Amino acid sequence: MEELLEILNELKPTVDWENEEDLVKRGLLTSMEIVRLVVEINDNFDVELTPIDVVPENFYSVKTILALIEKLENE
Amino acid sequence: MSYKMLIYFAFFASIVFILYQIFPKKYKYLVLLLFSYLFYFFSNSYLSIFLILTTISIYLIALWINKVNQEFKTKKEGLDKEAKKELKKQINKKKKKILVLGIIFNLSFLIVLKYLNFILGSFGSLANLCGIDLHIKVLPLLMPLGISFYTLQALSYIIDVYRGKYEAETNFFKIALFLGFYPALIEGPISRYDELGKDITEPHEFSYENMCHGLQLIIWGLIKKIVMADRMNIIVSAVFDNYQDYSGLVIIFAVIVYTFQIYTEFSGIIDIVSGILEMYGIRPTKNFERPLFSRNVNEFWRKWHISLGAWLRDYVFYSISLSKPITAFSKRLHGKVSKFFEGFLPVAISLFFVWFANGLWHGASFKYIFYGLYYYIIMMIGQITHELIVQKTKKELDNKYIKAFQIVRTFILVNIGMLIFRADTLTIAFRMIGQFFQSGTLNLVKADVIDIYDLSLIFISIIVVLIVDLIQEKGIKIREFIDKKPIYIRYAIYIIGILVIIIFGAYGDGYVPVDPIYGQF
Repeated sequence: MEELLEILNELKPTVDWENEEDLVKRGLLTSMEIVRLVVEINDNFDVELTPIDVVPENFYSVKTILALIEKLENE
Repeated sequence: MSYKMLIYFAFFASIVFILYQIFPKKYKYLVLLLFSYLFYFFSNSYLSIFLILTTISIYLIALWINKVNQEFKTKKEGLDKEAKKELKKQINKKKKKILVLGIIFNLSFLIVLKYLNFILGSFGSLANLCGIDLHIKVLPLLMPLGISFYTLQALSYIIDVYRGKYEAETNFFKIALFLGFYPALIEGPISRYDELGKDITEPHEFSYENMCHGLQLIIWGLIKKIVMADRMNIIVSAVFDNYQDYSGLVIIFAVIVYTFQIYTEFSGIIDIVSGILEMYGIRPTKNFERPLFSRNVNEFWRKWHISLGAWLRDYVFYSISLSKPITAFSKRLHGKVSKFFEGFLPVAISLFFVWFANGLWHGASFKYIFYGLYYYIIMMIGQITHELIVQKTKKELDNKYIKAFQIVRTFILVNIGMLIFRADTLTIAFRMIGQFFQSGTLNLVKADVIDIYDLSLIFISIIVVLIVDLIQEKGIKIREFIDKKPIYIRYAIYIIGILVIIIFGAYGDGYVPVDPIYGQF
């Protein structure tokens, strides 16, 4: 969680990441930022996110992003 | 599209709707397929072969990919992790080859029919510049209806199966209906198989509420197309066809009216398509979300022609930006440039292809390529200035004055984009922009462009569209509001709506039937 929050805060320090529940719909995570985030996640975790993982449902909140990473780590 | 055609279309759509209700559950989607193909054959004749070829090819390609997936599942049993990884690599390679074959096969129709003359023409001009006269003739190529829309749907289907989003459909007729569903072949929207594709092939029971909701949307769509957009066309075509004769103010006014014309016409036709779908109980693909209140062009494109933007995002942008060369480039930048540019540059490269494709999708000419790249440049400048502002102020600027400024600024930028889009050539677009500053009168009636009756109706139309959008922007659902009213008020609204179309529709003497603008793409 901490590691992910660090990445997110570096990406966009103005967002209250822990409490936001609808990052995509509220426009807080644009597709450009999602790409930057995916590259960072691939670099810092033992996973490889592909275009198929990049769907809005996986990027609603910190919790959903973390769930995606955990799912891929366990695969 | 003449209005006689529109009446035939309404009659045709009603017959299909009634037959759909009569047929047993199992065959309902076949009614839609049969009539969709009848519609397509009557409007396209022998050109229908391209839709059939695309349908057969993607049906087989997806099944082939499925077969390879099955092969992986059988072979991986009993293998250790490393061997499994190696097998997966081989299987992915095989799948990629099949996918590329499917993409090339289907894109080749689009490239030949839509872009070949442009490619040959550009080649000829280049040769001319080098002093070689190639005498390239324009080929008499005809484009089948909806090819730009159904090809993108076809590609999304095989890419989704390749990516493992869902399994290939084994029923050929279901794929045929997904690509050939008749209302969506005029101006889209560009739908996905796991959304609209599955929904139109499922049986839907008749529902009075769905029918009313659908009809409401159809009436509103018809008002936007026939009463509003087609009337706006009078000013737009008069000024754009003879822009040299008009003052800067008249040109600016015509450009603004064109923005409203294309908005009301495109969203109007999409409303008609969505209304037809809703009558059956099928959820339509969203294509507009009040784009004229956007605060920047990025937001505008998230709310304008949503299905095209989403297609380019999912199949071009993510494919390029998450590809190995781009992620490797991103890593190479690490520590060499600032954190912002480390993320920005790979995205900027990927977005270049997105906007180039966006422009080219709209038409085979340099004007449309420029149109796409115009938005690309604005977005890139926007990203950099936004970063500079955030760095300086350490926060996002957000208050009602800034919001108002951003909306007006975006509206101006969008209007310039629309001017490029509508002008006959890029040179004419620049000339028209240059003429913005030419003094003269704005009196359109005096200049004999339009009479006071049509002009007043255009003003009223713009105000009505803005009010409806504002109401929806506040979260009020107009159709749910109508639902709560007593039956006599509801029917009065329907009758008034139909009367508005009949009385104020821009048809008959003095009006030219206007073909759907996006239909030509």
